[in-house]
Amino acid sequence: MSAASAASPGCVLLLIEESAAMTAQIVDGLKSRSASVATFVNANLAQLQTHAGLEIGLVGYRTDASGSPFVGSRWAGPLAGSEFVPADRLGGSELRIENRTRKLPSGGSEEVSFPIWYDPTTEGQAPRKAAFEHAARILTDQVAKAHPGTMPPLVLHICTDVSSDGSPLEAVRSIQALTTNLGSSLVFHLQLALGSGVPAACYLATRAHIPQGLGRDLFDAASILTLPFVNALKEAKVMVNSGARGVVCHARPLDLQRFLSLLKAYAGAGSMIGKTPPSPGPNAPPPVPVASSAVRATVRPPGKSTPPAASPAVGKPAEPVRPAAPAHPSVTNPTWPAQPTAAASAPGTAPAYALADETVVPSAVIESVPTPISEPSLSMTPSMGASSNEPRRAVVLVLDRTVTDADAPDAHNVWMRLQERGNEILSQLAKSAGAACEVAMIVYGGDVAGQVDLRSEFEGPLAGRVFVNGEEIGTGALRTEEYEEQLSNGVGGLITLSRKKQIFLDHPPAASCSCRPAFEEVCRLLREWIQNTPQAVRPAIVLHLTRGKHDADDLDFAAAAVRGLEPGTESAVLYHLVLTEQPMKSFAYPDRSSDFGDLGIAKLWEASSLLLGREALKESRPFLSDESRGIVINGKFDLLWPEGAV
Amino acid sequence: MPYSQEISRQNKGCFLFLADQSYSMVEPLGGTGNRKCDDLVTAINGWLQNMAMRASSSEGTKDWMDIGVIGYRTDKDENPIIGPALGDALAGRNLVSITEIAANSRIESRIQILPDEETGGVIEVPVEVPLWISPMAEGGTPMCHTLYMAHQILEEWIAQHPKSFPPVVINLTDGETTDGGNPIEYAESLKSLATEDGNVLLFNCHLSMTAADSLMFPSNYELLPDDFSRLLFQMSSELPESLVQFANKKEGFSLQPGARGMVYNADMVCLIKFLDMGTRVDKKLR
Repeated sequence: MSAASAASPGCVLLLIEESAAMTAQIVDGLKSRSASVATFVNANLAQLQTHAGLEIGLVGYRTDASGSPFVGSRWAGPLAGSEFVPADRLGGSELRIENRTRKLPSGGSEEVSFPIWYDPTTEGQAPRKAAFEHAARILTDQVAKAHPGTMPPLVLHICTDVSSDGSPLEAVRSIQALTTNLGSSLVFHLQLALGSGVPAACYLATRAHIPQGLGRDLFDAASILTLPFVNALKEAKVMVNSGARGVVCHARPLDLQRFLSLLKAYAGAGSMIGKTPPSPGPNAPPPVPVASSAVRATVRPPGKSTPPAASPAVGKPAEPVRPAAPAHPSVTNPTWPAQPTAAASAPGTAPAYALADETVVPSAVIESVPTPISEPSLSMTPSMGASSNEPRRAVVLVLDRTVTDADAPDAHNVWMRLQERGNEILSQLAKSAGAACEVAMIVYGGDVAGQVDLRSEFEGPLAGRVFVNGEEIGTGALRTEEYEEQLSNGVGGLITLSRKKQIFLDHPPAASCSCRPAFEEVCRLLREWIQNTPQAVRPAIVLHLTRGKHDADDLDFAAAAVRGLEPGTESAVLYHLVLTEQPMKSFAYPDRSSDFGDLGIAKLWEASSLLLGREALKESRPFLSDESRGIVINGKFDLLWPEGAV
Repeated sequence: MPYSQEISRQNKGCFLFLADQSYSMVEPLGGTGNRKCDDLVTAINGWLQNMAMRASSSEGTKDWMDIGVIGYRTDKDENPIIGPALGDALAGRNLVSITEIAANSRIESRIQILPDEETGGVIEVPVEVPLWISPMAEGGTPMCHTLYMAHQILEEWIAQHPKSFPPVVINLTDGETTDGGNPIEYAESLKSLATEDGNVLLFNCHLSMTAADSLMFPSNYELLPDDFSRLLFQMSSELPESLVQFANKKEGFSLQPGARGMVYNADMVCLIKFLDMGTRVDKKLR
């Protein structure tokens, strides 16, 4: 520490929104947002006075009466005109010293001297882009004249509402690109809560839990926490996941105080500043699959009934599933454990399941022209609970993230609409599928390297799981969003209900790629599931949610591959829900392809299986015929499985 | 400025519904178990009740608008059957005053769905509701003949109310015309009728049997999905500017200038919204 301190002092920049939105009362506090920020800023500045050599910048941003950005240094009094002030010059350069009353842990209170350096004015809007551009300029100068052995700069940005002048991301990136010998500059953000309804989200490692909007933007613009900050936060009993970013959304006063205390962690960091924490840390997120031969057992959540005819494993955590699972008497839980997707092919590791060589569909099958399969008669009745002998059904959602223009605004993006449908279907399954239904989802799209990015696990609370039964899905949402649903009131009016919707899927759109690897994965997972399901199995349903742009060969492959899954006598079925990027007429379960006027869609129709249960459903749905296929174009797939419409 | 005349006792408004009664209206609406013809009747009856309530004042019902409901279908030999659908004491009349609507309903029991504050779900409550029209489904869709009849009815009404806000015609259908004409020509002719305050407004609502994605008040012809939606677009009037602003500011729409008074692939919620928005032409109705 002492060796490094010769050169290690660096510079910090406090970048603070001063828009009119900062005059609102801070959520869970008594003062205005602006006054609370000033209090914590001043309190933390006071604690930095002893860190000789540390340079401190204080920049505020708002718009003035004419609407022009007013961005610049907020040092005032004796420090007015400085961009950066050495920490040891703070003492004696205060604007003023106030007497404030401090509550004591014992219950009493005492008078303390409280030095004030920052005394903000609030007005107008939040020109965040201009603010970060200004910050980039002064930090560039600062780094240029600093000793290369100093710490890279740290920016602590505090804001509350959306930017008024566009995205600051580019300017943030230019700050993060400033480096010294000790590492890259760090930019952390804190957004004060706008309302009390949403809990604070602190130092997350994935943006999946943050709704779209400012929080997401800040997450994207935040640096990953390095070791000194992780340690400081853990000391303050803040849970920090591996790979967590310096970002706090919907912050309350306590979150603000902890965020600003990162100043002290920086001041004491020295050469450790760029060091990344070991991964995974003791507070790591739910484990993610790694390429190894270890098979993780899935523990049933408490409270879920175990099938009565079960096994020696009743009452105990489920035992690890062995490769010989199909015949193993202890396997009663058909929920598939997290399956490392790379394991089977990783050199030097034994495949977790002795199945890999069986998953390849023979080329003869691939080349055969798919024809609609005949399906067995359906005599099952709806059932909510799963008795041990009740037949199981697997439902696999295959989601196509590919879009023509991944940078198009979300609202116009076909993947965002497909993903919403996917979330709706998962929510419906959570409500009505029951324990006898096991759901998996596979999300695919092209990555920047031109490879297929394939994900076959739930994220969030069910992280690492591949098959989840209908009763469990509801516990696996990444987050819950409120929305208003309008319904017919039955007498010619509408009622509006406040609803919560669960978000299970949250991925960005991706570049084009083949769907073939996704369907190889579907087959691999389903074969494994079938082998590990001792109960009778109903035909699996594979629903492909897609914008419909596929090579004919890939669709032939998908259809043949899914159809090739024949547990007993019943083939799995392949359905399609197509939302088109270009306007196209809606179709629901069409029985011919001659009306499409689009060869690609006609090919999807060919690849789709006949709709299960169409004979029974035909009664109430006259648009169905004996030849209706499981494909919906630009509509809702509301007849997902024959036991009940979704 | 057109479409600015206030609807009042002196300058009455006029709303004319054209209701498809072809046989296909027995099919379900929007993938649900309800028949299109039943939901259509429910929506129009609900609208009439709402208007009767709005017209009521301490001095009785304000006589400030005329209303007609024309049903259209064919017989087995494809002969058009087009005529007023209001029943009971109002039977046989193309247009009646809102005061007559208010005074001449029959009351039946229905199940109303209400939000349940306790659970966030819904509860079903039996209610007595006034009804004016009944479901009907038979034969084909003689839309051109119907637009022609609307022309005759409104030509006469306009002659009597030359200063009024122009009549609003709402055509509710589940399919293409079966009487061989080009409905665009008949629609153009109807829209060419005008009071001093502007041309007749023709709005079209297409009901979908399946849970298809709906398209409400589109403004871009290029983004329509098929020929029938393009036909309805051409048949439909642009929404008056003040209505677009109202929809955007108060009702949560984000309509573009030039938005047409049409909805494609409507389900029941769309249908009710469409009837509501399409008739909020006057300040007093907002």
